[in-house]
Amino acid sequence: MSFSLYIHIPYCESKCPYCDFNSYAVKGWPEAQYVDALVAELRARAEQPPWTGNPIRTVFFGGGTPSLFAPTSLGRVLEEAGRLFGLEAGAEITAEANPGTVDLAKLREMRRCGVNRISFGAQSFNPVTLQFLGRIHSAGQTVTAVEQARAAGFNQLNLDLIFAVPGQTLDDVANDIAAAVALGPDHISAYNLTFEEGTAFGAALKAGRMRQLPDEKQAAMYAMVRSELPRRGYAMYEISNYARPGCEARHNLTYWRGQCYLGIGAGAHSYAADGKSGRRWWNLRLPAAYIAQAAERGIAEAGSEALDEMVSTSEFAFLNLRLIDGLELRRFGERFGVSFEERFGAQLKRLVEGGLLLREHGRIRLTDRGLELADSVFAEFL
Amino acid sequence: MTKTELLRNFSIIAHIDHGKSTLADRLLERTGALSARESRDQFLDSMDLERERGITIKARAVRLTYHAPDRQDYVLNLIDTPGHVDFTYEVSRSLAACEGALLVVDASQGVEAQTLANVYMALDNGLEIVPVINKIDLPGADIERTRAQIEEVIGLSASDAILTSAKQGLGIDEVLEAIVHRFPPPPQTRDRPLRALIFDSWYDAYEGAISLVRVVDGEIRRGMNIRLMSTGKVGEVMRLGYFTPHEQPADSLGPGEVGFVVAGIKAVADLRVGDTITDDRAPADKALAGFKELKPMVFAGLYPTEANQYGALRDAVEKLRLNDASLVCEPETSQALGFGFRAGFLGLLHMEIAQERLEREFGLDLIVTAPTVAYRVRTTGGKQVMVDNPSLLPPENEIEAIEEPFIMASIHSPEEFLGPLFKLCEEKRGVQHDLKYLGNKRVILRYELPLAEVVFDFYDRLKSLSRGYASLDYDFLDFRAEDLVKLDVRINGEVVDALSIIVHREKAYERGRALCEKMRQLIPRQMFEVAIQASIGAKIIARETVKPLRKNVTAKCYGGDITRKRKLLEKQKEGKKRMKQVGRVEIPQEAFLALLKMGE
Repeated sequence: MSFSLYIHIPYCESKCPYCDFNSYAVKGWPEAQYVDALVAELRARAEQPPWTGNPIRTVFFGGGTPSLFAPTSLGRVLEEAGRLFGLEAGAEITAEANPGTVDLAKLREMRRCGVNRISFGAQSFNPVTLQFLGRIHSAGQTVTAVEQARAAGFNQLNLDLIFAVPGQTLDDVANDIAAAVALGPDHISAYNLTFEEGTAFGAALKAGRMRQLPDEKQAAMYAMVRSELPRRGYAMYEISNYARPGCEARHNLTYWRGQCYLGIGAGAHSYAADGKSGRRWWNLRLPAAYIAQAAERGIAEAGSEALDEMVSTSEFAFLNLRLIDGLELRRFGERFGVSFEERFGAQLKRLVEGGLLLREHGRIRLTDRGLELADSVFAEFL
Repeated sequence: MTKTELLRNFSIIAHIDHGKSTLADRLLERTGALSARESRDQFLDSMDLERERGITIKARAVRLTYHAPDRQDYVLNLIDTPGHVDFTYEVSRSLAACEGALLVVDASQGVEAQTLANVYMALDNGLEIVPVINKIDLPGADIERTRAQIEEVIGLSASDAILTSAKQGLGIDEVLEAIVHRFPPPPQTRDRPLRALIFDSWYDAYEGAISLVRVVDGEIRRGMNIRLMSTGKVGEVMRLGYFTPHEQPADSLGPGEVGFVVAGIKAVADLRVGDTITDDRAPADKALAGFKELKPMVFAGLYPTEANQYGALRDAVEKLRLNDASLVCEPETSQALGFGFRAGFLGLLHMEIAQERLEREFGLDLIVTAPTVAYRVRTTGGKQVMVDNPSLLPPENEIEAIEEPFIMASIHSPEEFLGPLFKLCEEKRGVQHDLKYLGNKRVILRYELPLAEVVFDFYDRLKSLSRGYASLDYDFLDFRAEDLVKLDVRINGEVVDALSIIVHREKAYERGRALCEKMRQLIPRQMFEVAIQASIGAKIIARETVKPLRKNVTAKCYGGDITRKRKLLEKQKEGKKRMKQVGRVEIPQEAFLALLKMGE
């Protein structure tokens, strides 16, 4: 069975106030050592089940800002991964990039090093919103970056958008969507802003210095996004993701379908299914600690969690239900040796009767109303 | 065994916060029963629950040895009393074990109601009463006014009232002297057959039921076979003793003495408060007067919030019953709540205490359904059935009449509150029986009232309208056919059996509206719209709606960190634990008691 490889690059030029990913704003970063550590970790994992002998289906350079690294650095990791595991033909290889951190030469170089899909953190095309979000790029830079990426030969391109930003109006969101669509990306991720603990926004919210938009308004924005994008040719296939036909992010589908992924780099998470149960583990978060440990031992695990059958079925349910296509009942039965009805019959009945889930063609999926209350629905499966 | 002339049995009557517990502690300290080091504040209230609520629920007795200035060693038994209408009977039996009572009045607050009910009860039991004016050290203390008030309101001479500050230890010696010289000793009746009054009993995991007794006649000895006069139940006295407050063993207890008896009897239900213990070989002819078998007045369903907790609830209920003779429990099932129990209580306070003990001592999460009284239903088929669960009322076409229990309520009150009292009793469908003036501007008002109207907020409202001065006592009278209907609550159209109540038809609309309104406030917004309706039969009489949640979705999935996502969802689910799923709706525990919260 092939698997997905996630590679975390934990450095940024500046830290965005809403971001709670494992990233650090630094002036200079130890790129060579970090790449050495990634390579060392890959080599160590290549000796271990379930990775040994299995090819890679997708690669995702996430961050942080992977585009801060020299394309050859990413190339070296890819090359090593290919040598150790083998890349499937047509493997999807994505790198996240900030519009302000790339130019045509760099994009060409990335492309030549094997990256074939690029994901830009556009977030908005409105200067006020961009400033509020603490972004260091301009809307113009996003437009240029998209044009250059196309010129460099990226035929798979994603734009990230954020909506429900304090101060934003429904029109603002509509304008952002129009601007994004006008650039003709293959994929759009549109995220409702969340206020996470440990971020500047989270603290401001807690202290009462900032307020979220009212639920009504957020719901209206979400409703508009999920009606506007499909109308313009981007089918909604996950709670926050939209794509032209055949352009769904295969890497992310791995997560949502409950399949195996190997995460390397500081703070990266991995998941290995083992029959009906599984294991998830995560690496040391601090880049320096990660580098030291990976260089010395290859493995830099900070913690892990055994996922028993119950937890595995729960996760499988709420992950697959994020997808608009939902959960395939037959696959659940094959994987866990128990039917979905047997495990979750009561919840299923209640939620179907309540109009939050729909059951048809051997699948269950969220209804439109179910999308708005997805967390409530998911909690039912725990 | 102590000579009776050196014995004094007394209790302390006081309004809450007037200093009963502090005075008791000082008496314990001054007589050396409790060293200052041991003197936790308020030694007598030993259950957490009592301490928190400031209520003494279980009576306790402490034996003090007082080296008096006359060089005699007196034995003083301090008998503590509970203080709530639900426990009136226990109070009366505790007082019956005494010859005297100290009436403690706060010099800055004056005489208050709780005091009065117990003073009259003490007088009924023939006790000598010594007024004690406490808290004389407070800036607001007005000794002369308090003295005058004791004389006017209670009709007791207060010229020789003892002045104390229990907090500062002032006047404690005078109190001890008054106990010795103003309270009579118990009569010397050693030659008579044994009669001992049980005034408290509790359950001990090792020894079974333990009773606290006051020997009235004769003598109880270790090894003696004793008999309970109400049931004929027999046991052998394994252990005898008293509390100083530490436990002290004794070989025998003679007339007038107070102590505990362990007689190999398992359940407290066999050692009823008020019952008489006699010698099985040489029994007394007649039991002591005043024994009453307590009947539960209020019934409610007890259910675990999670069905798999039923076994734990059953075990807990069994254990609690060993300790609480007045708690009655039968298994029942509810469509909405699954397996549980129908429990009978003396009153609402008793119910709350039982609930809290089950939750706290046994770690259970409980749903208590709306309390009800027991109705007597005459069916068209000529049968008579008792209904203590409204959802079990026979179908309307089979009901000839629904009869509800009536009580005779005796309300002691200063006459100035008569107006509001009449109004309250009329509102509660009462019929005035009589009104007696006691002098000192005090009255006894007697009303025939439906028990159902009294068990809910009557007592609280009585207390509030009389600023605490009025007191309530009641006795069961009879069953009377009234125009009663079953009021159902429907959640999304479905009748939730655990929420049904029986009400007077004239009050049904108002009650239905208020109930729906309260339920709306108590049920949180959830995935679906929740329609709350009140109905009589098929007729809907009130409706409220809980709007659904607008939005609850986290856009991100945190990449590969699915553990985090799951934990966030788990946290969300945790908040629902104390809710009961009824159909698609999650109903919080407190909504099942919405009936009791309508005034809030």
